[in-house]
Amino acid sequence: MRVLLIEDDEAAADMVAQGLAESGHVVSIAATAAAGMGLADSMAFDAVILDRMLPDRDGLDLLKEFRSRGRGTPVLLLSALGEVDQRVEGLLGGADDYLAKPFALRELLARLEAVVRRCDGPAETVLRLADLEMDLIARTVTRSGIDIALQPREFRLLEFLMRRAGQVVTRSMLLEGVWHYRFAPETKVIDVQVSRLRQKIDRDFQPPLIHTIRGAGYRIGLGG
Amino acid sequence: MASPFRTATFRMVALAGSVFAVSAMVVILVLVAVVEKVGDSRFDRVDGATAAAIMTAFDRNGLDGLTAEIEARSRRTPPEIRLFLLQDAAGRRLAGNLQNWPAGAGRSRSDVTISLDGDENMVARVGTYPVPGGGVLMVGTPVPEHRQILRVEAKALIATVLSMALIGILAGVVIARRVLGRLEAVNRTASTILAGNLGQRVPQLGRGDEFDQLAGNINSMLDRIESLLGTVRSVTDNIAHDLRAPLNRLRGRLELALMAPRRPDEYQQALAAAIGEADDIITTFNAMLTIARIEGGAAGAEFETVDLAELVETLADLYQPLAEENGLSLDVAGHSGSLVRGDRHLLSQAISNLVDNAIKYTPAGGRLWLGVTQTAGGVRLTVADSGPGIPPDLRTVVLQPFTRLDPARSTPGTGLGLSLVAAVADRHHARLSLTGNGPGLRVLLEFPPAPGISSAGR
Ligand SMILES: Nc1ncnc2c1ncn2[C@@H]1O[C@H](COP(=O)(O)OP(=O)(O)OP(=O)(O)O)[C@@H](O)[C@H]1O
Ligand SMILES: [Mg+2]
Repeated sequence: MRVLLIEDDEAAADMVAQGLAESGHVVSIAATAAAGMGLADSMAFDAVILDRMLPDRDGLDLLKEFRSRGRGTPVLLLSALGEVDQRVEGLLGGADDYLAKPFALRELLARLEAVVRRCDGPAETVLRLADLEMDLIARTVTRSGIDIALQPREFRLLEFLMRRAGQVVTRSMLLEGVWHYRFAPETKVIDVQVSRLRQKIDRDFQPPLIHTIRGAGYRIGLGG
Repeated sequence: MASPFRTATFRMVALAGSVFAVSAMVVILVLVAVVEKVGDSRFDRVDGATAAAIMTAFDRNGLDGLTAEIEARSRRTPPEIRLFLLQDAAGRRLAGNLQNWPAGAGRSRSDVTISLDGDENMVARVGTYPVPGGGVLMVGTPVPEHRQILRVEAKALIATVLSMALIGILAGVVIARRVLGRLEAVNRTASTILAGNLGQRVPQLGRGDEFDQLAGNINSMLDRIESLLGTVRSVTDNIAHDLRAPLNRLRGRLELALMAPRRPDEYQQALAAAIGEADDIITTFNAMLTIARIEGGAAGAEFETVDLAELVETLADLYQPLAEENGLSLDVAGHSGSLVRGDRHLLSQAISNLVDNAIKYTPAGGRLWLGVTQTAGGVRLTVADSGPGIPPDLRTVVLQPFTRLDPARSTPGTGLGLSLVAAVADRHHARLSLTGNGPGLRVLLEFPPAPGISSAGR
């Protein structure tokens, strides 16, 4: 996809741009808010990565103007200010997600993917992946027609993964999405949760659906 | 010292003094005028009646009768009591107890000066009454001494008032000087602090007056600033101390990887290890920053009503699988509706740190307890385990940043977990205590009752 990166720190911008390029995205870099706005006006992007602290203007300001012009392009806000209220401010300002520096490149890529794929369409009541079927109303899960009993937290975890089938989901995204926590406890906490779920979903069936992505997180899907 | 004339105190005293002086003078002048007016109109009435009585003699016996009447009266009455003088149409004196026609006497009554025998002078209020045929009768009354005294006294009073106003202004200067003196002490302290000596305090005289209160407030403000600066300083020191080592390791690893040609998988391994090292540094860094922000009061500005029981329930849900994986049982007991005022995220993080410790330091086969109870004094949170516990003499030390009791460092950790718990407890005015659990560790967090919330449940 086409990504607009508005970031004044050249080294950081290069790093992110390279990461995006290696993941198959096309990146345009703007070092100032003005340049960013100009680029956004001249061509269409699938997503914008916006740094909060720009030399000419507060990134949040730019975002608000961007939104007030009716632009619905997903925006991922970056900032060195990691506090919760800053995050809330960013989301209220129209950002689709917020990431505090220092962040892992994998985290950025996963969250970027998530904001672009976010579907606000009518909520589905049955999620399907291969032979795995999840009925959100009856709250039942079957694989190859066989009932799988899940605890409530396992059900929520699976639902979160299924809604993002094929995408990489990081541990902090899971923590945020399933437990509404915005801090990172021991990574093992999440790993154990997922491995429990995996036991129930994958142990007695083929092929495996829940995959661990090294250094990033998890993905539910067919293959790899 | 600044000029006392330019102080607010002086201006206020001077203004009050001037207002007092002017109004006092107005009152005195009005009083004098009223008293004179009342006296004068009485004289005028009596003199008028006397003149009318005298004139009846003219009606009976003409000018000669009038002259005789006045002569008779002049014999009876000395000029100090009442003045009579009659002159004919040509201006010649006919009778009276005065020798000369006083200058200024006319038909409208007025004060004139009269020279008596010798050099004695006297002020009198006189009026003239026409005699048919052209003569003029003058009747007057000497102005009594008390009226003159009143005038003199009014002058004296005004002088007094003016000098009082002057004294007031002088007092203003003196008071302003004293106020300035005490403000000067505050200013001097402020200047020394500006110059870099934050240990300075404004002297308090112990009188409990508003200056002492001001000094007290400034001093507690300075205490707060100093403690905040202390926090910042200790964070900086810790950053220097505790990040240097891992940064050094990180650098070493990368350097080592580059020292000789290696296989790709070796590079991969080295880089992955470096990332792990960097992540540890970031974790430490974030934890330190969070603690500093909590202590500085920046975090958790928006407190809300939080149900601790619900919070603990969610945390237990999150940690249950990890506990089981480590061969530990986790018991949760909570009264729902255990409400406290607080920052949900900070509280979650603090409790999570405690549960994390309990899991990390309790050997397999052990038990963990998570409980929320409502007490008379508020809400009590308990995180307990059956692990090795912490010896009583070390229970305060472990709250200090970067304190880890495991000398072998066999478990991963930064030593900031309990420091964050302590900071969060402090921010919520909660009492943090570590006790034994015979065996194990029991951590209590006792929250004050949330104001304005009547706790549901029991
Ligand atoms: N439940 C417990 N049982 C026994 N010892 C404990 C327990 N909790 C803490 N300690 C001791 O107190 C020390 C300080 O704990 P703290 O949580 O502050 O840091 P940490 O757990 O070492 O690291 P971190 O929590 O930052 O990852 C620990 O290193 C450990 O020695
Ligand atoms: Mg700990």
